[in-house]
Amino acid sequence: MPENQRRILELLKDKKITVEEAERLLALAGEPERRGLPPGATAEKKSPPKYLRVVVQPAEGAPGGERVNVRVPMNLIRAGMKLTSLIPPMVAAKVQEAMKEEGVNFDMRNFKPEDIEELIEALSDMEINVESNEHGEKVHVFVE
Amino acid sequence: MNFPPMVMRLKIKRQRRGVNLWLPLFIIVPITGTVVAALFIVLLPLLLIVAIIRWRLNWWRPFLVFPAVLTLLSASRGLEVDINQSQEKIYIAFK
Repeated sequence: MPENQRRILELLKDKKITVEEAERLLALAGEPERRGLPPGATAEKKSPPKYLRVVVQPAEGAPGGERVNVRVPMNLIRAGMKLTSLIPPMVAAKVQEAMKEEGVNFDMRNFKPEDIEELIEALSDMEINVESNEHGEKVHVFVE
Repeated sequence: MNFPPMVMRLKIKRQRRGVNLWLPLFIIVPITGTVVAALFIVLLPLLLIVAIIRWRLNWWRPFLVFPAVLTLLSASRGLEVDINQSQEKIYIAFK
């Protein structure tokens, strides 16, 4: 039995974790084996995303529906984020205030280059699907 | 390293009329850059006089716009916007 699974069972025996938690941990511990990887090995690291895609499709059969297909390179997002330092302080304060009024309490000036990389890496798992009940439009936001 | 886009494709279609352009950025950007740099050098004494008269901290900050524009342009390779409506179409791509 692999070391990780033995440790989980020991934690369960000592009543340090519940049965449900043990089940979840065992499932996670056995995941690399199920994927055909040797125990202890982690999955291959995904390549960083290159583009952010936004696709809007009209409802099927809807006349005159709008189709939108936008592909934004991640490099452009990186460059744009870095350029926020060029915004004059007075303007930045106004932007910050306007964003706060809209409920976005987020200061772009506090963004550091390493944060941008982390954000872009985190985006690789992002996928948003929105389907409008009213018009039947589908919005798909994802990275590739 | 980001290679700047070579061509900008602009396609606008409205009912029967439309515009379809392939803009050779590899020609336009160096020419524009040279003209802007020449203008900057010519106007530099004037800019310095204005800067001394209306002295304030960070007066040089507006000049950072030029490298910023170049950075954005270099990073825009691969940008694609395609909007289609029943009889209208807008397509912009940096290739």
